[in-house]
Amino acid sequence: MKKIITLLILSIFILSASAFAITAEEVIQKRDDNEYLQSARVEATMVINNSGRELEKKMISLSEGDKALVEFTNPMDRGTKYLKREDNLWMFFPDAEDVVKLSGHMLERGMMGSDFSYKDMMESQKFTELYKFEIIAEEEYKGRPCYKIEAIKEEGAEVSYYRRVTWIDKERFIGLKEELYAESGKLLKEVIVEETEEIQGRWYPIVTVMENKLREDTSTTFIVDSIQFNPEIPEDTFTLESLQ
Amino acid sequence: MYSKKIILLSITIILIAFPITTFASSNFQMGGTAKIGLNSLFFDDINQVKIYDSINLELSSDNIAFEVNGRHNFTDNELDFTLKKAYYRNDIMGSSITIGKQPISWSFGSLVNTVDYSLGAEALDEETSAKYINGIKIEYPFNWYSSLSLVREFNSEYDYKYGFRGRTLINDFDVSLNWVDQKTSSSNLSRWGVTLKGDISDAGVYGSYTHIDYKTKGLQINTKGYMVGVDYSYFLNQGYGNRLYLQGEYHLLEKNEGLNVLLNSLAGAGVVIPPSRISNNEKYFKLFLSNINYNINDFSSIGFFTITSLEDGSTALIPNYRNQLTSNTTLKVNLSYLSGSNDEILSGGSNFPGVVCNVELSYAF
Repeated sequence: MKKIITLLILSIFILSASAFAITAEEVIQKRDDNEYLQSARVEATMVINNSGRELEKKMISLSEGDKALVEFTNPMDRGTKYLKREDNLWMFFPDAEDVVKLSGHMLERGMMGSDFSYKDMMESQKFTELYKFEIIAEEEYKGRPCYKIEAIKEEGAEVSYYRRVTWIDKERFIGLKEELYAESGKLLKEVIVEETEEIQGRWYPIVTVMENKLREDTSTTFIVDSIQFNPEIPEDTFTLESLQ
Repeated sequence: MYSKKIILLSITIILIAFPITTFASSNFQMGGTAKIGLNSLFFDDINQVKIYDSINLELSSDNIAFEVNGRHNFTDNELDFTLKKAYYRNDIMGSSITIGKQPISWSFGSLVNTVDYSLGAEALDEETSAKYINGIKIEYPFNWYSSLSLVREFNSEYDYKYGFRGRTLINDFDVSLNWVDQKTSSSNLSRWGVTLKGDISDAGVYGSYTHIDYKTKGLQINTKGYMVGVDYSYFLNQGYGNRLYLQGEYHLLEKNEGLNVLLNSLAGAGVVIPPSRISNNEKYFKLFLSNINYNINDFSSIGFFTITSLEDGSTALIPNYRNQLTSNTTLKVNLSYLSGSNDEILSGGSNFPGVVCNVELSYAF
């Protein structure tokens, strides 16, 4: 009997030990499996909030690998489109029906006045290719058990944020909160996922709020109205011709 | 006369094709913008104040676009309508063909573009009528970034007007070769040029070369124009605050009878330079343009645009303020002040307003 109890305790210990033995890279990989979009069609609403004032923008985006096409559909910006291929950003002006290549520094700018930069919105590389990771704690966030993971940029990688601290749901492998830091250690932005949904077997953030911590009373809420994973995208979608 | 026929033909095609394509298309859109504004012009001797309202209606599907602008001037009780778009577009054998009233713009990011199809059409988001033409455009893409486009305009002012543009990407630089040929009963004007735009380190850089051949009554003139520009932006407050955008460009335009054509390109920026004010002292007329824009917050921005004649130092100062009051409502305030005195190049007078002020409230629906 004593032997059985010892064996049982040992088994539980081994099982628990193996459960916690997951590496940070594996957690991120599982999160990428959920959140990284190899190709997708997303209809979304962006609500920009500043000191009680709100602006609403609606958009449809198509993405495939390092290519993305975003079209705004709200009345103020109707027809404005952006095409990103690698680090090149192109903008379509609907009134003149003309396409202009934007300078590289514009990628850091807040997209349509939001707290999301063009790079945030159209970042196409997997995080595992850009950062090195470490589990720094295991803690609850809004009642969900989470891995708290620190990501430091890989040497030579071109990223918007030097360090990220992310709370990833242990069961669903979806990011619930993220803090984005500069190399100086200054907190730049905070991302809170307010609503998640399981779509086609993948947990995906539906309502995300980004706060720019360097500005007071400002935030941008990104709401996914509909999402289609791996849709059929015509071959000529990510071209200057289709932007027009 | 010829042009009127083309307009009628375009509208007929649109009217026939619209119901068909609209029902077949899932991408049908309609909307517009309503505006009310005040425009003040201050000449040497008189001031003009106009209060206006306007409505812009748009209707489009995958193949069809229709846009009309109605403008009412309260002061003179005048009503004007402008047909901005009425075209049918379709893909035939890998080419995109657009027939009817349509905008033709060959911008590449400069403040003033002397190589555009229509000079004076630079302001991409402004309602400049110069860029809307009656004609046919055929565009053939070779790959995702390279294309050739051919424009044939039908306009009673010309015997003919053709435009050709080749565009590609070389080492991440957007490069285009533009050519426009127009003939009237008394003259032939041929413009061609090259533009490029790309990045060097963190700055955007661009430039253009323009060549004009002007022939009239036994006279043949060649005029050249050169331009280089740079744009850069950075965050204030040690890199973490609001963004400041800076842009500057330098134009070198050969002084002869063809200069007048190149100066037309400033009309899009709201500035008119009479060639009679330009001296014959040097071979080139030199201009420097700058644009500074600062985002006050997510909703509002201030900008400061300048045009300086390096010949006499006279400058057009054009500050602007923009505030998006709600998701659909925007307030814009633009001021233009010509600092030159007497007959300096950028100065006001009895024919040219020295100060222009425009306040406009718009609602998009």
